[in-house]
Amino acid sequence: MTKRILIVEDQEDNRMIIRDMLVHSGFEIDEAASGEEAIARVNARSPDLILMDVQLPGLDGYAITRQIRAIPDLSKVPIIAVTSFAMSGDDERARVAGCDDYISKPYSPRALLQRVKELLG
Amino acid sequence: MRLRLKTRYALTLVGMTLAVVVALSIALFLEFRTAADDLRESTAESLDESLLRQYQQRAVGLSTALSTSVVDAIYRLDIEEIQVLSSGVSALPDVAGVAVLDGTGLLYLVGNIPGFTTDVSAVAAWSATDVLPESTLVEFKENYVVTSTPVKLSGSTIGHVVLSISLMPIHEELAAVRSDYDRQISDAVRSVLSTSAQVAAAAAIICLILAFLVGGRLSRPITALSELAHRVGHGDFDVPEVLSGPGEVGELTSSFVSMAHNLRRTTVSNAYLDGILNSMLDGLVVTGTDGTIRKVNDATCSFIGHEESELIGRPIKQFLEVEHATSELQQPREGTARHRDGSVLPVLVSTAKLAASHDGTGSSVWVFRDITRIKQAQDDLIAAKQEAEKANEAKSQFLANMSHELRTPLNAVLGFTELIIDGTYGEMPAAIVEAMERVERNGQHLLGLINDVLDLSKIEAGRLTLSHGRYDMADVVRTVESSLSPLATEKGIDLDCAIPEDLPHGWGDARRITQALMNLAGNAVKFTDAGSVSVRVNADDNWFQVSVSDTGPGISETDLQAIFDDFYQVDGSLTRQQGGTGLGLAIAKRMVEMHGGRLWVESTLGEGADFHFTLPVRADRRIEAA
Repeated sequence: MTKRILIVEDQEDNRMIIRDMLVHSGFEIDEAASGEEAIARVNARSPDLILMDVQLPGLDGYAITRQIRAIPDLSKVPIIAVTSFAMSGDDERARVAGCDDYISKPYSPRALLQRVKELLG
Repeated sequence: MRLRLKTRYALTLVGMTLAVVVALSIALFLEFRTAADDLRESTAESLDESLLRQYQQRAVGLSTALSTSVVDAIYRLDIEEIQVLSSGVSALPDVAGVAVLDGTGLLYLVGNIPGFTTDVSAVAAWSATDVLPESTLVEFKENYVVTSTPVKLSGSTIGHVVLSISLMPIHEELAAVRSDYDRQISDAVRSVLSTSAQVAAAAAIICLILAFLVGGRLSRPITALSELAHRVGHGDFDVPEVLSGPGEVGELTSSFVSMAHNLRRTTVSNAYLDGILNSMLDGLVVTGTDGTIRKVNDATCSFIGHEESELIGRPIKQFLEVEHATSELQQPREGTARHRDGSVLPVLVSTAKLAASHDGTGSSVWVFRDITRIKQAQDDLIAAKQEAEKANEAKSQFLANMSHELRTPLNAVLGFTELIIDGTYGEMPAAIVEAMERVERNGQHLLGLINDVLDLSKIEAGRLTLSHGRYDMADVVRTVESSLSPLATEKGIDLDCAIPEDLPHGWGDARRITQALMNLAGNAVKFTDAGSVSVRVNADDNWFQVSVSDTGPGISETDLQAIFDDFYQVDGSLTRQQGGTGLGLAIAKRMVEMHGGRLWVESTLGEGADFHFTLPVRADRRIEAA
């Protein structure tokens, strides 16, 4: 069964890179350009994994993550936080917000793909 | 009237001498008078006694002689003969009277016998009854001697002769003697008095001469001292040293001279003081308790454009304004001085209270300095500093924005490049893949440059904050090793990382520590063309010791000095040739130092390089960029 991945990313280029890579790797993709859109998407259809950009206009990625975790069906869905610039402590903050893993920009698409595959086992 | 000291000496001496002489004279005179009176009285007495005796003897003698001569006549009762005989006796000048009596009564009486004529019967009575064997002084009155002598015939008394002699001649003689004495005494007294007066006058003259001689000697040092005091009193402390002599006055004089010299050393004249005050560049004003100006110096006048005479007596507040001015400012304070032309100039004012002055008022001294230029410079500096801070802020903001703006498209470039190389968009011809790989390499380099510049600008701006956390030093080394091993392999050099098994967990900013080690090891790999790069880590309880050694070209002595300073001094051509930013070492050093560690290098040109750093196992949580 094809795994479904929700990409929450406001920048179209970045969204496109991730989407092209994941589609090429055989995943089904859903996209959201804002936190509100992301909530709407997950309510419409539950993803198998969420790539959550932390820096979003409006509510940030951590806040969205907490909202998603509050939805009963999605309490266990893997979420990878994408931080804009790595800081020590980012992993801690990401985990506190309910993320399973984090990757910081700039990231290599190959490295991201590897994380996704690891989480989806 | 003020008498000179010398005159007073003389007068005192003369007065005392005269007093002594007069007292002595009086005593002598009294003594003499008493002695003379005594002598006179005793002389008169003895004379009186001897005369009286003489008169008594004469009276007895005459009376006895008459009694003998009249025996016969009485016997015969020859009154006539009795009368002749008695008259012969009574005719004597000193005989006052004669009476002849027989047993029955008065026979004859001649002359004046006081108390006898009237009481002749009484005399006759006791003459008859009392048998008087001898001629006897029967009566002695003040002026007379009366004798009664019995007239005897053959042993029996047949009558009496009574005879009276006047004592008046004695009294007269005594009076003459007395008056003679008195005259002599008063002559002597006059003589004594005149002698005393002469002696006194002589003594006075001698005293006067002595007093003027001695007084001159005595008063001369005091007069000199008085002149000295007068000079010192008028501010002339330059008195000669030699004006002293023996004795108390001499000691006083020499004390006074040394006091004057001390005063000369410690006292300054008004002219001297004015000279100092007027040489000051700062303005100086002295005010009384009422705040009015008492004294100003030249600088004050030139600062505020007024003559000294226009300022004296006016309130200082008209010319000088200081916020919260008190008579004694603890710290100099800024204020303004008002110029005659209406302009104000900024001044720095300090004040001090003078010790209570001689007129009993507490004066204050105000010193103020024209700080127009300082103020201007300060304003300029503040403006420049604000400008610089603004510029720096703008620069930092610009860099942060730029790095973000640069990184975002670069991420897209690198991302798409990777996808193309990986065949996401279909299999590419080898030439395109190779070209894309070059795009990727250059893009990565550009990203590195951007990150380094951002880091350094953050460090410089003091904005780089460490995010401490627990980390594993072995992971740090492994991360670096895995990042660099492709390049090392490509260059054909050996990357040797030895990690001891029992390394303690560290506390610090793992990303920055990794960055530091990455920069050191990355440089080593980049600059080493043959041989090896080895990374060694050791730890004790408190410190990690990390070293990166290479067999590269080494570093010249000149470069060793500048290698960590900042990126401007790094050899640009070499940097470009090797494809680095030249910021790596500076950043690494800062990162280590921010953790409280130390980074240094040992190298000889041509013999490789050894970079070392130490790092506290537990870095303080709050260490930030300086």
